[in-house]
Amino acid sequence: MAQTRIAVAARKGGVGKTSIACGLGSVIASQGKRVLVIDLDPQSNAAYVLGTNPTAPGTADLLSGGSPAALEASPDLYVLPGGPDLAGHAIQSLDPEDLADAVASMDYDVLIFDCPPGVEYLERLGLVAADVALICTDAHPLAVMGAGRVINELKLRQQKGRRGAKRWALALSRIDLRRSMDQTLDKQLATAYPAIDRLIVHQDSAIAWAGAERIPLIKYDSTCKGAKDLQAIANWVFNG
Amino acid sequence: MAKRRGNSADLFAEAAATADAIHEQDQAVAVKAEQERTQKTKLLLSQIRARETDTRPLDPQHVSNLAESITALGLIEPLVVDAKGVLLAGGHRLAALWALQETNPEVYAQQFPEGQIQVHMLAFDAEQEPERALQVELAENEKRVNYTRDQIERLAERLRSLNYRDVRGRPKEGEKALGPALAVAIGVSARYVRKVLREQKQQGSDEKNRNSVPIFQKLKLLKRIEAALRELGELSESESPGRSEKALIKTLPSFLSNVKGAAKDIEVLIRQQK
Repeated sequence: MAQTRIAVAARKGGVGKTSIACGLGSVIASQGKRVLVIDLDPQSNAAYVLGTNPTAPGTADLLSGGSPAALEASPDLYVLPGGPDLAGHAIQSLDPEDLADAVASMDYDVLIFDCPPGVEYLERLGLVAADVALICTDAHPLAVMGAGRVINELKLRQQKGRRGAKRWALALSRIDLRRSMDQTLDKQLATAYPAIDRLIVHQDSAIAWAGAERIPLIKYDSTCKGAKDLQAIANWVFNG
Repeated sequence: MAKRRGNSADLFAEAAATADAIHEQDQAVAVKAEQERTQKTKLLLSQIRARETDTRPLDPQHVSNLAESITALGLIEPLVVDAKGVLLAGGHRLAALWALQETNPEVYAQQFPEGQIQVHMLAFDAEQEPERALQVELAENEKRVNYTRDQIERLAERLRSLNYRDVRGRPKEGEKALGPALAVAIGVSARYVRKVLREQKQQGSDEKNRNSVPIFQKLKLLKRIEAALRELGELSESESPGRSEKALIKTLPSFLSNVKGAAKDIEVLIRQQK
């Protein structure tokens, strides 16, 4: 089977990128695929929420030409930690395609790039290495603005025929339809980006608790609402 | 009382529109980052590619001196490379780095954490602009080791292959003057370059350079003096010659005959040697 590479990005911080990336990883791994979550965030949260050592050598090492060992979070679910080294000068001066080249021969069915907030050059490494992108936003205008910037970047790359994600969807995060903003968000995104699929991850405390307790989502609660939403996202990724 | 809430759809629309507006700035930053990225300040030793032709042969003593200095002080002057990492200047330093890496890997690792070597990356491709590459190489070298005549000739050869011509006067269209270009590049006078090139040419055509043998030089000089004296004798006398001139005119015939005699003696001597 060909490798599937998914970038999870938002530009804005705190909208649920890491929760979605790690939750999705857990869901896909439970389907018997070998998954590697590659954390591009200097804050190194992905390894933490998956219950592994966030300070172990990881993505920065990979990008510097090393071959760090991925940490096993649960059967078939592995993670390469992020960390402050990602903010170093050597990483900043990388070619945007370097991550794509570094992961090309990795022996996993699925790679998930957890992109950082704000830091464009790191986010770009993930977007360029991916073939599918999930753009996260919650029901706040600032998150919509961040998502819009990611979409514009993806569009431009595609127009110029550059390497990078060819297909993307909006992942609406922490949606609670009792709130008026949340009700409006989906409609508004449909108007602003009519050609882009929208996938909804409802507000679910299980996702938050799984991360806080550092347990992969499926192990924490395989039947929770969040797991079902992420299952639908996995379905979109693999089956369009 | 709190302000009445606006329409949230409008708020989202405004945010999406702002994202489009910021996109332009995002792009400008991306372009700038890309430019800066191509101006790397550090490369792995293996990423620094040797240039195709070397202007000077490496001096092994100089290489080992440099390796010693790098051991103690690190690389003070960064290597100069083109946009693709091809070495433009610093052949000795590069050789010293390779040597150091092989003979003393601990010191090497200490001086160059993660194997990163300081470089000064210039934004052009040496393959596309060989002249510029050569100029950089020479400008850098100028500060260091003086060029021997052989090296100057070799540089001239390279310039000739780049359509530089060593002719006097204005070069034809499409050609460039070799002498001045070389002079600027190695920081000496054009006159000196011409002299070196002329000597090289003569040596090429006549291995035994007669001018360098004293006896021939003397003969040549005597002949020149003879010609000059004849010329002087043919000129009309000044209207009121001074004492010195009178004395000179008086001694001229005997002096001339001595010059001729000396030249003849040398000619006889040369014939005997043959």
